[in-house]
Amino acid sequence: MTNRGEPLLRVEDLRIRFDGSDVVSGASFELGPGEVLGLVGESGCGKSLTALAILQLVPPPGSVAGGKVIFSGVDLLALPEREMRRRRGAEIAMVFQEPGASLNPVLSVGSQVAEVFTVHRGFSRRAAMREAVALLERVGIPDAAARAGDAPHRLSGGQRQRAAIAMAIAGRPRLLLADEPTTALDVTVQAQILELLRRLREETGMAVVLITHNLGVVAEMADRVAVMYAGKVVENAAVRDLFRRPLHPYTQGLFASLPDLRDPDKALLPIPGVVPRPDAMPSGCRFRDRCPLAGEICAEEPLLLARGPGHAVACHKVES
Amino acid sequence: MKDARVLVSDLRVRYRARAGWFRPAGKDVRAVDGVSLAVGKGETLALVGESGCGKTTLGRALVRLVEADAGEILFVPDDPADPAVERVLRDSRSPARRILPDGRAAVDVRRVRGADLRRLRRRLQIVFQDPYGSLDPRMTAGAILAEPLAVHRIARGRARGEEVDRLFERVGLRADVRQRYPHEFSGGERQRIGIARALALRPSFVVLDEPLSALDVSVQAQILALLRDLQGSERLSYLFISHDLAVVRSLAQRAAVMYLGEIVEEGPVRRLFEEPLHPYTKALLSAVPVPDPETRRPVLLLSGEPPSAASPPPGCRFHPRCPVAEARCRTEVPAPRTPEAGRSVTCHLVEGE
Repeated sequence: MTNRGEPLLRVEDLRIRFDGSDVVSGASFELGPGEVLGLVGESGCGKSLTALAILQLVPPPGSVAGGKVIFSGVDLLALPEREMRRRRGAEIAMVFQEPGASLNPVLSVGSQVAEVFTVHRGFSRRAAMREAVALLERVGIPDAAARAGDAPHRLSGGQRQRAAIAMAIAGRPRLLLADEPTTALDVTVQAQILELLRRLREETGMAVVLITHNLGVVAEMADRVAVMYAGKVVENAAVRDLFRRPLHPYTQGLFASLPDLRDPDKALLPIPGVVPRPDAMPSGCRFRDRCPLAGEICAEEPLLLARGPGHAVACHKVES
Repeated sequence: MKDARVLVSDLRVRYRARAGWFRPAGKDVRAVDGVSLAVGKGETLALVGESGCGKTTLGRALVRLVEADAGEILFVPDDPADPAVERVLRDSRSPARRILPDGRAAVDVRRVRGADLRRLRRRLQIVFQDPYGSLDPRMTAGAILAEPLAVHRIARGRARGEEVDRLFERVGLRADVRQRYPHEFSGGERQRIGIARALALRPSFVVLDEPLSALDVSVQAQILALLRDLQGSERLSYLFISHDLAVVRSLAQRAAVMYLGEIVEEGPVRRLFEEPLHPYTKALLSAVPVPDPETRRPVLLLSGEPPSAASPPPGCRFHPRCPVAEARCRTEVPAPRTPEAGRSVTCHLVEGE
């Protein structure tokens, strides 16, 4: 585990409400400068919304209903839109699962990257274009000078994601939010993009929140992991601790249901049942209907408590 | 192959690029370009490869949802008197009737027509990736399962209802869900309905086209267990199309690796995963992230992405991305070779017969 000084980002008990139900209800985690935090969970657990909330971009009718997002000492949730806009793209940037989502289909790739240089870093248009081409080359787009003039659809899926990453890092952010950046890509291309993210992190020292459902990707990329289930962070630990000794029954269930490339004889134990819908959440622990250990006490809401150095778990049944 | 149930040889599927209003005629896409494979009784053959390699087209061609342009698909019934094939096999002049070298009777799937094809479909079924898009949103779950029984006039009246109940139970759903509509189910439950629908006609060969890809990990394991259980009890043969190699390793006995319309390597899963021989298979396996932060393994990074199947490279199709390509790989098309019994690799650099 890295030396933990003042965190760069601290999310505290974040709550996001949609149509009267809390879709995210208690997301807490932190990461230091230059760290990679893997935010893991299954679809609908609220991991993408959590990232959007960090940028104050929760789509209506959703809204942040409580909690804090402290980014280098400032609570982002308390900032006016004008202040927030200055930070988006410059201090905190985001890439999405579909690279198309962050690229304008009718503008050339180069001009979109260049725009970040003019808006956030005050470059002239010509200098910005030159920087954009250099950056496209740096993220591994072959023949970048020529590709810069192309519209996004002329690029392959992997190259589009490279361009989206170039755009995200153009403002030299200190924090990159990457929402399933390789999920839409083939495995050989995924390996290329992960390698690129790893290299860029080393070169720029930016911190990364890597949202993914893939525990393999987490193991390869992350320093710390926060596991989300049904809108809550249920476990939070250094990556080695989490993989060596998962403590929450949900995290244990995830590992037990994961086929292993190296061990074909591993007996897979599925987690019974399905994730409850946001309007039908059980009271107390949200995992209790599927949990093999659940007891009466689980009707009370478990708190996310430290159970070891840097290892926090929200479960009544875990012994300290 | 002894005990083969489906035998495919030199299958080709081409998508024609017709000219449109503003679009000049392009080159045809050879989605499946000379594929041969065999699936045994009760066996799972996995078909792996990246998007656009032709694996879905191949799967659909085997059950005649896509028409192949050339090649042969033979289906060997367990019992020549099976009503699904009996009419074809009884007619010695039928162009679809085949006698294999070992004396067994087989049906040439591509040559079966009309009512004979409809009957044959009972034994050849498919489960789709998208449990959201493959179920009619206006039909109840019960109606979805009763439909194939009605079309094929399998059970009537009360018997049909009982059969539907049996199917629900077989895939782990309570029969009281029969009045519900697809949107009322979770993704995993919907996939169970898709599987039940494929099983309704008691198939012996099922194409599973990425049946787990849309599901979360914890639900994936449930469906995987169901597929394994059904295979055991009904002696099903699966063609399991997947890009998830860990899932392939846990379900399949054999695997075929596809690249740009061709199978580049095929063999027993255990051998293929422990000692991949084709450079593409090696790269594919090394690229899978391992869920263990304490192992750092070298990733064999490939350059670039797969080229378009409309204009495959000359020579070995993999050569522009291959880390070990030689001069001949750019010009000569490699022939499949057999480095050890039961394995086949299409690469100039692999030794073998």
